[in-house]
Amino acid sequence: MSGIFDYEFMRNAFAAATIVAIAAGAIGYFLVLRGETFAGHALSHVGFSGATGAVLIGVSPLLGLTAFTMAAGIGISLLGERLHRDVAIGMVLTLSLGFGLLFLHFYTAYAGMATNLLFGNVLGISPQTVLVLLGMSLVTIAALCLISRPLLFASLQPELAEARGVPVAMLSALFMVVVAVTIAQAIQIVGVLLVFALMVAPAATALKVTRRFATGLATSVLLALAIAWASLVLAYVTDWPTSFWITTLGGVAYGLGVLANRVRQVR
Amino acid sequence: MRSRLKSLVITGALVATQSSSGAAWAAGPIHVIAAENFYGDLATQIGGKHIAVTSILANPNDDPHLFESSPSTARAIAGAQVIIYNGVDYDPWMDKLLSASHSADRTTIVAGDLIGAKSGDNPHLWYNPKTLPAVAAALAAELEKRDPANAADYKANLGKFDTAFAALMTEVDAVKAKYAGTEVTATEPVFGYMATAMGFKMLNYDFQVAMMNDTEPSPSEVAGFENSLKDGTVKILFYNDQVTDDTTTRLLGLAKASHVTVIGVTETEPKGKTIETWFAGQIADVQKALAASH
Repeated sequence: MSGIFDYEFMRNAFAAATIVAIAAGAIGYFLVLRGETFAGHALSHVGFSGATGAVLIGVSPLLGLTAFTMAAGIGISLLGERLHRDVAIGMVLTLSLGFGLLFLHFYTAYAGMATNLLFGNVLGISPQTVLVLLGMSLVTIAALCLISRPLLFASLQPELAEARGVPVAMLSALFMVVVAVTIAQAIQIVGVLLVFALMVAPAATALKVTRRFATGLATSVLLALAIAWASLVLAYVTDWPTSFWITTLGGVAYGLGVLANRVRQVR
Repeated sequence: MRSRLKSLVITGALVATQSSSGAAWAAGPIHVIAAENFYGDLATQIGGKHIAVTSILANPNDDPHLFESSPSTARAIAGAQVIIYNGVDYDPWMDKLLSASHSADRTTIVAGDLIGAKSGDNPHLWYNPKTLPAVAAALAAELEKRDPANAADYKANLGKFDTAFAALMTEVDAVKAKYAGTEVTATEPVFGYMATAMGFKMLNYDFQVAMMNDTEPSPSEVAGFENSLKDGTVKILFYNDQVTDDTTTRLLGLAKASHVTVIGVTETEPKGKTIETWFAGQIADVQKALAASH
């Protein structure tokens, strides 16, 4: 174990994982509470198309990824008003993946820059990236704080909230934008395919363990942090990919949460 | 993606080739990291026992296109003095890993920069006859600077490599003199630069790029590719030995049915070979195929 922090890449990885885990844990909690986990999963895949588009026109993949997920997030919440929500998400997902394919088709050079995003690379985080993640994280958490009260109301009792004059549709769209930016960050750590593990697993576990809002939110954030840190340490020790540990620990945490929930119900 | 996801998850194995046989050197061996194993082989040939070489992508059965770095890779890079990698977006993970660990005492040798290749070019630069000698010269100069006491060894090793490589290129020129203008094609642009050096006309480049990027080739690209096999335009089909999926298998079948010679080329250096024997084998395959078909 000695020397884990002697390496700059490990220090950067811990800093980035901490920043992203806090945002993902908090925003993921609302995502699971609102039953929009599929949207989270879909948005991360949309991010891949955004990154390929960005590489095609020669801008930073992170920028394209963020812009594309934000647009898709707004699209999902707008379409979701009229269509069934799952249909809306599926539509936006396949539409954007189709565009991703088109972008790759036009991209006549080697597309390693884009495919690199599928699994993330937490050990390749530069100090500049840490700062970018910190900025994005502060914005998303601040936005979440601003909308959290009405959002919670609209999430738990949508009809009542609407009757009381809460702008439910606008809140939903705003929240999707916040989710999109969080996903763009999480992709840097675990990649497009595994964002679900970091955003959903801690939150879903927290909801199994407690029904109280504040306790649940705190549990989700702490769990996300614990999983991220433990995964980096385990990856360092075993030399297995960090993403593997994040998914595994997330799965184990959720399994234990389900078990604890069962035990409590039996008693 | 598809078949490559599996190899991607597994990849990350780090193969270390310690050249120094445990002998303690005054300042210890110079640590050299090569992103791809042929650059590692080159480094071993130039540095000999004075350096310790680690190649990151070494397993010829892994598709090197996708690579999730493991902590040991990142650690090795953090502690290395000389880093050799391909560049031109072939190994973007290396740029990331370097940006995550700063070091004042580190030199990077980027093959693409040495020969003036730019992002967007065919990334398989090591098949360009200019590349390996340029990397060898840059590395020898760097080692001479870091370890002047052994400068004579590095110079001698560079001379040896250059002579051997020049002999290979004489063979390439012989192919060119005899068969220039021969039309060939490939499933992926791996062998592209060497085919150009041999004076071949490489058909269906767009198709190859689509295959390399795992995107769908357009109908006209597929039709063009299949027609060039069926109507006997092309004499050789090069395929990437390390990436075989259903599409490649089907195309190989089509080539065989159309009596087009198929030659497997590899992206990384196969186990048990050196740059010299690896290249020589592929050049010999080409000569054999053309001698039979002409």
